[in-house]
Amino acid sequence: MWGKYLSRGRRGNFYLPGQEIKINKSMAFNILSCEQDSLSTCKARMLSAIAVFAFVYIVIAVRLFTVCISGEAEKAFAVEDNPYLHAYMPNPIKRADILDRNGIIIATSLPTVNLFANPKKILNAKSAAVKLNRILPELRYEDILQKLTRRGSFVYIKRNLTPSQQYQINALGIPGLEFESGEKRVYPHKGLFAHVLGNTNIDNLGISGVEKKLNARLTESDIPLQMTIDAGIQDTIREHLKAAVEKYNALGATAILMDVNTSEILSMISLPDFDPNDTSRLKPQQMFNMATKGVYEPGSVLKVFNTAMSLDSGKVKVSDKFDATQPLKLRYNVIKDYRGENRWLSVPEVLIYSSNIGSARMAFAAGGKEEQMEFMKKIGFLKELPIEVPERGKPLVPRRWDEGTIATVAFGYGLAVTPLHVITGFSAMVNGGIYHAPTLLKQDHKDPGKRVISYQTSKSMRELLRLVVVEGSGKRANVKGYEVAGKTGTANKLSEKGKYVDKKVRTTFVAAFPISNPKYALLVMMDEPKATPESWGFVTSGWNTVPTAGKIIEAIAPQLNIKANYDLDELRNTRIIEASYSR
Amino acid sequence: MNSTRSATFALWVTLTFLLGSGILVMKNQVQDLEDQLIGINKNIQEDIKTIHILKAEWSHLNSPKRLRQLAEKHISLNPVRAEQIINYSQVPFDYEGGEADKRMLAQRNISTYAARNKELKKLAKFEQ
Repeated sequence: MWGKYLSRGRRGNFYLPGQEIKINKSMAFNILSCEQDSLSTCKARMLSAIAVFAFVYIVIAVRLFTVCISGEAEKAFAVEDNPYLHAYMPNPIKRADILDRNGIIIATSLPTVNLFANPKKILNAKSAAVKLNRILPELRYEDILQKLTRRGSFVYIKRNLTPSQQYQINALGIPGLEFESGEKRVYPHKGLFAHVLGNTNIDNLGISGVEKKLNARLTESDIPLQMTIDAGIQDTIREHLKAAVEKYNALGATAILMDVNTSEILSMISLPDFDPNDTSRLKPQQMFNMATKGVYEPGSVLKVFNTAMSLDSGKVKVSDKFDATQPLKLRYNVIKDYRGENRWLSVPEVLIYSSNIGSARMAFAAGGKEEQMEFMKKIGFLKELPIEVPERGKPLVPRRWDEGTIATVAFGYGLAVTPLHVITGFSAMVNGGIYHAPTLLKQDHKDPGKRVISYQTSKSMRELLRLVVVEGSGKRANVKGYEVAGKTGTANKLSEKGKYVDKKVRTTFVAAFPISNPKYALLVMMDEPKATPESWGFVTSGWNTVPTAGKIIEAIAPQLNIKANYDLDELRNTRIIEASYSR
Repeated sequence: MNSTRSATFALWVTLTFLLGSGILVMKNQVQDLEDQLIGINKNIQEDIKTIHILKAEWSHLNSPKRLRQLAEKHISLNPVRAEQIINYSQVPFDYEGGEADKRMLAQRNISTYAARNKELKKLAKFEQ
């Protein structure tokens, strides 16, 4: 069929010299020309039209097929790539806020603009650097110039520009300078939550505190994270603690307020602290979180747990008496009392007078190594706590748990734990005997906890601890109306040589209130408080942490909505008596 | 026959024209809507950012430290003490009895407010 049109043999046309070659070369012209008979020309034209259309349709069909089958459809039909052309827009702020328990923002991210340069596109680096330096006087001219002349196509000039700086730089119109939107973590309350929240680096990633531990949660969802901390109470406690640190010239201090029934932490402060908005000049002490990272021998505070263990074992009764007439001689060491009573002491008296000898004897009466270890394990004193900050201290557990260790652990040496361990265990002692793991996150599902001592033991512990505050070393924290109960502890610090130093102490006071139905537990610890004229040269806990805790409880109890429970008439009478004395 | 063919042809042309112009109008409308959407989304994003900044500022202005300083400066209030909060039972009962009643109350040697209120209420009831 094709031969009819393509063969040259049948053409009998007359050619001028040279014309034959030309015509042969442009064959199509020949076919479509009207010089042949009209029917064949028509057929030829139609055929070529069919061929063209067929080709187009085949291309379309093939394209359609590939687009439909290969899933290229989205790409092929994508509208122009405008970031704002979406029905639902994601939050422009990527990192989630952190709220306190009442919904107050305590950490947030603000949208900012970063300035970067493409040194390849910069025409006159020197003049650009001069102009930039005029707008950004905090940068050095040499640094800017060095960045602008660097090899490569990307270098940050400055992060977090102010809107006016951005406007001015934009107005310079220097090619090669470009902006990038970013965000900056901001802590509106400055140092108030320093150790709880931690801070972030320039790339907005958490490097300490909750910011680090929950970095994944904060970056993958923009739903705010709610914590158990109460901003108002945190501030009140911090102010009082700060005043106390100045007054007693202490190296540092920490305070924790915990809900005894859930182990939620309402306030956690470690001094000295820092402003997470400005972390350029920080000392290591400021970064150290005493409350969760610091591992210390708690001193007499451990007697609370020793007494609870002894009473719970059933081998010791509250009315039992222990011989504290003379120092207790063991194989390797001799246990003495600080300002001892030198007589037989009952269980309440052992706590009130904080007798080391009595506590050691009580531990021996209650059982041996297994019982003590088992109890310490139950209240979590041998393991790291599952708290939501990465700065966690691992307890220093004695390697050898012999007779001497049983005695020293009974009165607070040899076993070093964090202040958070102490207050979590203490909460379990007074709340009816249920241990809850401490938490910083507000959760709907409540941890059922585990029973560590019987309800009866917990009830007698409340009474004993109340006695310590009414009659013993905790007198200065006896805030009228709030039924404070607690235990003091003064531990000598270890020197670098590993010996205990007499004058350098770490004092602790752990309290619960109102003790008839405990709601909150407070721990106050001070590192190396100094004697003041007011304290008659004493540095023991009763003279520094106890009055501080008293002031704190007096200030926060109304904030915590605790009903004051006391006898108004009795108070009036005592006032009258006091007034008559002062006259 | 010929008229039918030309009518069909006219119909097709009209339909094609209508369809074409319809699609054109629709396309324009979609483009307008898209432009609107882009504008609205941009505004929303800007507003979200502004709200975020305002919230942060609000939190900063409401920080307990600042509020305490302002309270100390502008209002002469002290922190609440426990003894300033009393139970309802401790509020004195508003009843003034006669001489005999007062003497009776004095004789009974009532020490607490609650007990005193109880007695006064009894007397008030008795009088009625």
